[in-house]
Amino acid sequence: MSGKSKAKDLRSFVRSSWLSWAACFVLGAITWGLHAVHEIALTHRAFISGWALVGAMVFLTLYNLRKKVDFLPAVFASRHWLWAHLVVGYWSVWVFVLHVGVRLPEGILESLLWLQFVVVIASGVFGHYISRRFPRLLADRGQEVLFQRIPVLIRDQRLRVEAAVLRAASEGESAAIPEFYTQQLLPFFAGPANFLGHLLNSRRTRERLLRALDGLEKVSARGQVEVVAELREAVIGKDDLDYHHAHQALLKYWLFLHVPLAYSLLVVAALHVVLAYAFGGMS
Amino acid sequence: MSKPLQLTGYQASDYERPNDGWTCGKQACGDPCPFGPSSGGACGWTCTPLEVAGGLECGRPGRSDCAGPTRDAKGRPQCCEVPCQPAPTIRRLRGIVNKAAVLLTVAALALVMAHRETRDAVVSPGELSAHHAALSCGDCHAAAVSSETRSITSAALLREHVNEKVDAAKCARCHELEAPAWRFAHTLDATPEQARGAGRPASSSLAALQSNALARWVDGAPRPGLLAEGAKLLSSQYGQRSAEGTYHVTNELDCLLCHGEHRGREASLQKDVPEHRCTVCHTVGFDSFEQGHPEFRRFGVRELSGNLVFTHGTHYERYGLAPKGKDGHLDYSRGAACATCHESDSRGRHMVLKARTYETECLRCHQATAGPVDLVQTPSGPELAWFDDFRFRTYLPALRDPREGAQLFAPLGLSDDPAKLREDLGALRSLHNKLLELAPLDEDGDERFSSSDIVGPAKLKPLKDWLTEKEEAAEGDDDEEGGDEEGDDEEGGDEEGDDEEGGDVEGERIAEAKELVEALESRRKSLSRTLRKRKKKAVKAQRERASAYTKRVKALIASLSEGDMTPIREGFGLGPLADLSSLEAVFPKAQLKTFQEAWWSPSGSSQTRDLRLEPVADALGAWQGGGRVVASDALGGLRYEGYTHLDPFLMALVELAPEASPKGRAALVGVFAERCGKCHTATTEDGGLQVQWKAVADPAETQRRLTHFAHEAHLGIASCTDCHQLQLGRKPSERIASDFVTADRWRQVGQAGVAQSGCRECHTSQSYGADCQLCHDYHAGALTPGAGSLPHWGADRK
Repeated sequence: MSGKSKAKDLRSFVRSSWLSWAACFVLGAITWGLHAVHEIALTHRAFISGWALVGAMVFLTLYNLRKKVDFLPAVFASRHWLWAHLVVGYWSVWVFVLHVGVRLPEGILESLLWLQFVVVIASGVFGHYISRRFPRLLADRGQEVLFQRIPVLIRDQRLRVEAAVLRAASEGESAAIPEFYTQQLLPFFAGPANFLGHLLNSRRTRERLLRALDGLEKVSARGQVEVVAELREAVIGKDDLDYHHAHQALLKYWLFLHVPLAYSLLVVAALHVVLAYAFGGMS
Repeated sequence: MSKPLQLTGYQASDYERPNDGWTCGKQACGDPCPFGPSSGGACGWTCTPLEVAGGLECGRPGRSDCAGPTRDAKGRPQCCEVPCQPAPTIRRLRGIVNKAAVLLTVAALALVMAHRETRDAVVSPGELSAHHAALSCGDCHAAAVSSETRSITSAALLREHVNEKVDAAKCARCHELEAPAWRFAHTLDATPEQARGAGRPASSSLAALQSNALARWVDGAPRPGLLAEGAKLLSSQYGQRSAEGTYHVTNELDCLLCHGEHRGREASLQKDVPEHRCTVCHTVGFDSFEQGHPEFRRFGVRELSGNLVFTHGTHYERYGLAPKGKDGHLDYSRGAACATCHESDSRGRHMVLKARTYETECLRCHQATAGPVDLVQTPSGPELAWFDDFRFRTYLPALRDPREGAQLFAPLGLSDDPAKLREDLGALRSLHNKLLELAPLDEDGDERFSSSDIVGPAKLKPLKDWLTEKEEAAEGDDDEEGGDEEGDDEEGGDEEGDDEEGGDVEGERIAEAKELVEALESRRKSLSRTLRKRKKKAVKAQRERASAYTKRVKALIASLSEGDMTPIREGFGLGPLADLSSLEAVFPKAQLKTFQEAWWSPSGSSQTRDLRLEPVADALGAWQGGGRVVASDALGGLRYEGYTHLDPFLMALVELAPEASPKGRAALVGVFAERCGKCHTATTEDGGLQVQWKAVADPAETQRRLTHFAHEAHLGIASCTDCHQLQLGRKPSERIASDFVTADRWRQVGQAGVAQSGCRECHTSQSYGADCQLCHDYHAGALTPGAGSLPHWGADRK
């Protein structure tokens, strides 16, 4: 098998959802079985599930470090780690339920731990969702752009629009277009806009501007129709860029919640381990 | 196709490096410089102007928009461009945020842990229950005793969850648990030795119960899947298997396994215990009470019957406690009802006997058997009067059979020469028989001798004299007839010749009889001499025995008055290790002491000779149970008699049976069986003995049982006979026979067991509950509460 086809197989293997769920199920069944056996045997089942949880969290955290190390062979490719990260992540939810039970903790530290874990898991699930959902959405809208270049592209758009407006202002007798630009398009082209709207897949701003441009076109002279068309194209392009910016920003910024909270969770969990051993008790 | 927004390709566009830590400060406004910031975050667009001849030159000559370098106020060359402020990339920002998160968390936790008040508040996993609300952390947690945080860390480093065991041990401080039992399954002693050491019966130990079919570790028991694995793990954690294959719990089960705190003020201390935890040990696998629960068998009967051989059927039927109805069954409504004697205990569980005693209830019909009990035996010997009363004729039948005669004379000590004795008796017999064969010689018809008269000397001498007269008379007749011998022979020679023949025979017979009598007399004298000698010896021996007996009685009294039970110990073969303190407690030492001082002087006196037991017995007087010691006979021994019910001395004596020799044990068993065993039962445990003196088990012992039935809760719903059905017509089984055996109360009491089907009519999972803990307690009974009002274990669970 050639290297390319082998890599493709691995990729498909990693992306296979049924395999992921099967792996989760198997891990969960094994964990549940161990937990049940130890519960029956009146042993320290909480410590077993607890250490399993700590191990899972450490493993999950290692993925962030793995991304910084780029010289490992293909077997330990980042996508493989991602797959394992997801499987272990979902499995850790089950272990957490086994460890804590279906109840809310009462102590401050344990409540904090509980909350941190829940938020980390929730953010992780959210991140998993958007990392699967958003690329398709982005592919269906506009062109593929790099996140870092979006400001540059926006600036280019703005400069073109400004040039067109200036041209319309110098050639035309009406100041409608310059006024329109000043009042409505200038803030629009100042930078990425409509962040939340794009996440909610809202086209309200876009449609509003396009309607406004339709109205402007009707009142514009014949020679300025091309300018209006150019403005329309620019608005669409800018809106697409904003869409890309919003989604890609979320794809990048959600980790600002997930990763730091995970590290904090590890610290608090370490203290929890110490306290569990110090104060004993088999809850 | 729309116009591409951006150019890709390494030659056509800039290469974006998102992994870099910095990005151009103008990136956000869309006009980044082509150089980008340095790795240290410095702007890369500004150059370092070159000092050339005549001025400065731009360090980047390819730039078309350079306005030319300048000099600052100090004359140093500077780039014409104003440097921008590079911005951190998202990656760098995230790294900063990550580090900050860790540092902040560590700082916050350190701050919290540094102060005890905040530490305790934060670390506590929850509010304490109302039961323990007044306690502080250190009352239960060894790690919290010290206020130092490092103590927590050091405690955490202990292996094997030592803290858990240390903390669990603190439960015993308030709950007064009976160590070490509380740490084993069911709060039972692990082994029979531990149980005995704690004053509890060996049968109550976990090891004894594990031999019960109800709870037995069996490999391969039909457990489903994980339950089997859990059972294996449990068995390895908390016990070990012997070479014979039996399993014994040896390791402790802490309270914390089932009881948890910090669950809130209103929370129960008992964690949810799923039913499969019970079925891990109890291998009679079944799904629920409704499906597959083993039949109750004898449960209920043991509880109700108590320890006495009380046959309900017999007492109801024969003694009319309840008459029979028209249908032939007992009509309890017209007779003594169950409530006449039984009532619910304080916990509403067991039905116990009302405050009734033997004296108030049983004595009306059953008198305590008062057969005497031999305590001290002395060596017996022949009565001296035997010699005085000896008459040969009395023992004539013995002469007919020398062997019988030898046995008859054996008490005289003549049996040391049985051959000689048989010879003498044989000779006497033959002589006597020969005399009997001779016809009576008295022509008057008087019987000169008969079988009953001949042997004694009083009869022999007259007989001998009479025979001598007859002999002399016969000789005189012969002389007279001798002068006319020729004429007699010529005149009537035939008749006179006939007379001479008859006279010769008669003479021979007399002579023979006389010889026999003389021989008989000689033999009798010989035997008499022997007997006299023997009598002397017997008298001497008797005196020696009397002396020894006196010494023995003296020693007996001396030891008993000092509380030394050695004589009784020897009498019943009780070994030196047998504890006779119970006997000593009831023995009237003081009375014996008084007697001893009255009868003996320190130097001893002739009063000790021929001491009899009667004064000793009189001196002892009446004992606690009403009994008294009497002398059986002059040289017999001491006996105990006249006692009443629950005599403490007899009870103490009986309970020593297992420690006696086989002979002594048999004697004591007989003492029990013939007297107390009519009503009281006994069980044997590992060679020991447990006599059930009380009508019902010790309430504390009853409370230690693991299964209960809340009688009081059911009294208004059902009647006693709904569950406890008397089986009439059964007779009590054999009483305790030659060996103590476990009393089969089932047969003796004559009751049917409680049927499970009756319970299932109401108790299901949907109504009234059917979980294990409804009827089964994990803890063996109510553990002793503390000085305050500490609740019983499981008291909140009815």
